[in-house]
Amino acid sequence: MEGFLRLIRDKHPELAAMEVVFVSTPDYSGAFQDGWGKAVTRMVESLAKPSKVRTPWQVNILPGCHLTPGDLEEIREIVEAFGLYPIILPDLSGSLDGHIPESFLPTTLGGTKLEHIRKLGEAALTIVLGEQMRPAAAALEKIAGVPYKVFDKLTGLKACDDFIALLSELSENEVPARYRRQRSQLLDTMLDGHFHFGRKRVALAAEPDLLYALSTWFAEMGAEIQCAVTTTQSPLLERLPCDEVVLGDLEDFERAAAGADLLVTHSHGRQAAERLGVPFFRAGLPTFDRIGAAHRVSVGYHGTRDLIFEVGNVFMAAHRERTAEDFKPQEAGHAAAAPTVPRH
Amino acid sequence: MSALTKKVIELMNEPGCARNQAKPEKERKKGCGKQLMPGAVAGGCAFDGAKIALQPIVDVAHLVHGPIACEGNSWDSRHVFSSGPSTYRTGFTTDLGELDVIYGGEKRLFRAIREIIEKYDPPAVFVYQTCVPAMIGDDIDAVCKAAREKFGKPVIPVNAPGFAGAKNLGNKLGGEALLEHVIGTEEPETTTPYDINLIGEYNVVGELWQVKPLLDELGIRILATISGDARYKDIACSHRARAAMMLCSQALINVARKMEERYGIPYFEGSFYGIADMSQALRNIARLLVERGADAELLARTEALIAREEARAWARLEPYKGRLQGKRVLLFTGGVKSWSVVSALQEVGLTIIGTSMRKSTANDREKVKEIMGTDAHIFDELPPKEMYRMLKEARADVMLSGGRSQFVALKAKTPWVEVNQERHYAFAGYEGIANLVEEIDKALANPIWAQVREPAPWEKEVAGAVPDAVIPAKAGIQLQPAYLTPPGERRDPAGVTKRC
Repeated sequence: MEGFLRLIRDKHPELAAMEVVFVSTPDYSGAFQDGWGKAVTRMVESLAKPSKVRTPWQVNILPGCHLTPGDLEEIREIVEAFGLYPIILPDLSGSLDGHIPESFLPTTLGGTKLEHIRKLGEAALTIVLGEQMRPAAAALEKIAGVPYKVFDKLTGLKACDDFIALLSELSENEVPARYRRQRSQLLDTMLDGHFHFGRKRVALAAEPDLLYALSTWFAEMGAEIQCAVTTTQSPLLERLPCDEVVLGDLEDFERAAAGADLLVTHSHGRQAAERLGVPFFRAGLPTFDRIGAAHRVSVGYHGTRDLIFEVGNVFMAAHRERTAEDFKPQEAGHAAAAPTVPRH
Repeated sequence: MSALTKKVIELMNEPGCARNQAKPEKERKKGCGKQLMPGAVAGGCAFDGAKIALQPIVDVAHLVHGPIACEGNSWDSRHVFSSGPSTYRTGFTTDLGELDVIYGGEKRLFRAIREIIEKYDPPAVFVYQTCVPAMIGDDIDAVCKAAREKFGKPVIPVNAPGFAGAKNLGNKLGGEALLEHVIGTEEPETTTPYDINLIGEYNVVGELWQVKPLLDELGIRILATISGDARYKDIACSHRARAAMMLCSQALINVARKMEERYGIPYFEGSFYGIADMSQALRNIARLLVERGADAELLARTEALIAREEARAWARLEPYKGRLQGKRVLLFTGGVKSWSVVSALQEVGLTIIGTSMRKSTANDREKVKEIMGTDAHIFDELPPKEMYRMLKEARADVMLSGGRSQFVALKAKTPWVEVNQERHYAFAGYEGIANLVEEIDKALANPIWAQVREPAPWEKEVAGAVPDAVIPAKAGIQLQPAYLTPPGERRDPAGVTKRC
């Protein structure tokens, strides 16, 4: 392929100004997030330029595919609130956020401008959101010497604190009052919400970065990960809060999820949830049977707060009043209705 | 003197209550209610107490005669469960308005009773008096009598307007309504020498069902629970029981005592909370039944069941012992269950650093003192501010209380377990104590506590998050916060308009 591209370049000098980025993503190799990471790495390698200039307020953001356009919008606002200027690559927030263009265009609107990508090398820092984006940041560091910092997630109090602390230190600006207040709200929500999460058994199936963000957040709220099923290898899998991770499919997931208090995966998990009679929370791609998935925000103090509400409400809705039957002895002479035996 | 005043005076003299009898006559007249302190957590009113005592009767309609808030504000907030009808959970109220206050609400009440009977046809309607109609002089006794005659169905007046006194008095006034109008009005189809009443058991979150299988196994029949998961007929027939157990401290002591006087049903006071108390309750039930003519072999069967269940219960608690050893508990239950919960928690190694005795009796206090070895940590009052300070100073690892003080604990970032009537988990019997301990363990083990107690990034040193080289100040550049910069003037490194 590289050879063909060179050939085309040679034959058509008039297209010299047209950038072509080649990414090798055969279907049989890797998962969705691998392809995403490769595409961004190749964009960086092909388009970013070495630079002697440092723009101290420029921050590159490399978001993984597990973040929604809503998440990116939130992240942009947070970064800007510190007086920093973010270049987000890829930036779905202006393109897949469901707005109405003024006229018909066959191509996608918004996204990251080519001239911005070329200036990635001028940034003070690259913020990497998701392990899948590490190679892209490393590529940029190699090209232009821009240091990078990886955030494996921006969901949960500690992750948000680290992110805010970094922005504050980087910009030398105080944390805006808005985020101080949002943090306080998140604390209150964690206190109110933890009752519904404590020792709940959660079954998750998602790509590694999303799986990591959600399962560690569930664990932070006191839930237990009954099973975790994912699509591809990642250094994060070692750090998941459960004993075992299965590289598998929805069949493996359904088998391992029996008896859980909650199923978490994309829309195709709905049949499994129905068969198992377990409440279902949609997360990841694709979400085609609920509207607004692109606008769901689960990053930052507010995003985490709202996620606690959403999932907490699923738990609350599933709460069933006990009946006399529930307390009947299961075996002769034994009173029943034992709570889960704690596993420690 | 009004009938209500007479009734209240009568209740202030309770021969069954040791504390009451120990008081000088003048003190006794003041009753056991205390003046509410502004700023302190307040308990419920007499109406609230009467409603709590009677609402668990599941097949009748509970009609509250008063302005909307009396029923509306507490509607469906008590998790007392039914194994059958759910009529008791529908909120019926006369919803008195301004014109009713001027012209009187009796006709409105009568029409409400008729509407309920026509639409729902319950075996009985309980009518609750509240402050406003009591003050304007609505005579609910007369209305109920007229309705009873007109519709040929029991219509029971419950005369416990809020101002009559505190919640505990209301419990007893509710009990009086049963004694006067319900108990003894019907006959059971059959009786056995193994029939008992449980007085003051409300089947909160199904707790009755944690105990009933054990009684079933022993062949002991609950003729009536007053009033958890009860049917109207059960209570009407309850005078035929051979023995009774009085639970919930002394909320319905007047019912237990008067049933003993009128029908010769002996009673004892006991509790289903904690292993020791549960066993003692079973022993006492068996003993009383045998005294009243049941076959003496019941005693041996009861002991065998106790031995088996205690072994199972201890085995279930075993895994918690190491984890909970020495953890400090502040218990603020409003009184009803203090002593039995204290002994239960000590069974698994928890340390009780304090318990409230706000609404408890002298007996309860003695029991707690006996169990804890001292009364140094018994609080009569614990205003929220003081409670918050205690928790904030980390003098307790976990607080057990009712919903009213929930947010005191949470704002102090302290684990909290709900143990009052609004609770969601059942804590009675041999199974229940394991549930309670599991709830405490679950609360203590939740990882959010460490997180929420961590200071915010701006409250601590955060240096080191980024390499020095990229910090603008260290590179000699001063940044302008974006929120001080008009959006149009924001810097764009690429020199183009920021948003498309």
